[in-house]
Amino acid sequence: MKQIDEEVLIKGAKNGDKECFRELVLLYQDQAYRIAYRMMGNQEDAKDATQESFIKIYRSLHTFKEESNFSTWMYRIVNNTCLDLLRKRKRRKEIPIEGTGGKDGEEYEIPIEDPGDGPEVLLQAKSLQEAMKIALWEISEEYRTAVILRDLEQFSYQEIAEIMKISQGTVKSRINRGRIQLREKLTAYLEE
Amino acid sequence: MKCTIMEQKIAAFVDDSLSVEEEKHLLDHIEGCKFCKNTLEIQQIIYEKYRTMGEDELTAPVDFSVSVIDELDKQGAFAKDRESKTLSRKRESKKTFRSFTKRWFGGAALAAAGLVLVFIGFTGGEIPLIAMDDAMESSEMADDMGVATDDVSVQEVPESERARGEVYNGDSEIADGEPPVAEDSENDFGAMETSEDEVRDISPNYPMILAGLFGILTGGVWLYLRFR
Repeated sequence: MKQIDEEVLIKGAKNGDKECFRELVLLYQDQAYRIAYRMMGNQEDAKDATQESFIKIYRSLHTFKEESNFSTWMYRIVNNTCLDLLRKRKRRKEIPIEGTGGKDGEEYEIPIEDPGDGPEVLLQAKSLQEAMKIALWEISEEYRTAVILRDLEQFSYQEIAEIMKISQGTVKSRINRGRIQLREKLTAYLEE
Repeated sequence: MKCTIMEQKIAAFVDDSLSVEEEKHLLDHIEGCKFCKNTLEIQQIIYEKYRTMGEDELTAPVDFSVSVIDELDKQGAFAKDRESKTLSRKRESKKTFRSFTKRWFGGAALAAAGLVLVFIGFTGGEIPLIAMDDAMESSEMADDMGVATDDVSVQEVPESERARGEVYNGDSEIADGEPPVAEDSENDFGAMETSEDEVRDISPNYPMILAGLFGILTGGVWLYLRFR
């Protein structure tokens, strides 16, 4: 039933039906936002990235082939949009990542330098969760995407391969290397 | 002592991605390797922590879908789409027609050329001449039957016409007793006899037929590949 509803919405959206596209956004906005949040590190950038992604999704609807899987096609656009925005913001030298565990538990931002600047920032994390966010940020982009999609968002290897447009073997390899890097960084934090 | 032999396998083990054999191999190794055992424990803890992080109730901001639609409205995306729907459909059908004609034209042209070649190969391309010859033949038969007819016509021909014939006959040597005929028509008669022989004796032009069959085959394959 859900599959048929989705097909009807996609067809309607392709024909310029505003309501159909709005329904599609409602169906997928939460997961798209979560992926963007993990990738971008803070809510404001995640909101911008998700909105820009859906606008690109609407503009690209005419290229979507109905035989393909809509969700993986859509999340590919979300992932690529986030990567594009991150590359633009890297030129800023500082990328805010929301931390937790401040006074009274409020959220605050931790300015992060480019990765590779040493473990000092991670070691200054006030909690394990904060350290985990920083560590995720510090591993390479392609490993980060793979780990987010698998370990945080629970996509299958097949789905991740379609989203990232790589083979399943490469997906597994990137996930494993990402986990190894995260372990190495967090072991140092845990040992401190 | 640091051991990296099983590093990749440990990373894959945490979410049951190893085969039964690989898992057995890893567990056997861990039995005798403290470093890898410690590594596996840490890896599992970190994996569970990230999984838990992923289960947080993070949702898109309130009225997020409204903001997306508003932004698309501001960009005129929906209005443009409605207007351009007819235009793009027309463009699409033109494109489809053009691509359709492109797709079949080559193959059809080849096949048609092949058919023509085969036809010429079999007939020598002389159907129009055959028809002419048939017409000539029937008039020749009429001539044979009707020497009398000629006599009658001679009798009926006025003086001026006969004079013309005599003048004509004066241009060529005519044996005694020969009926007076115009030079040209005698030559035509001879030529007709030759072409009649040719018509009766056409042999197929095999190279041309082969070329034609090849053309038909190539055209057919072209069309099949384009439309399959």
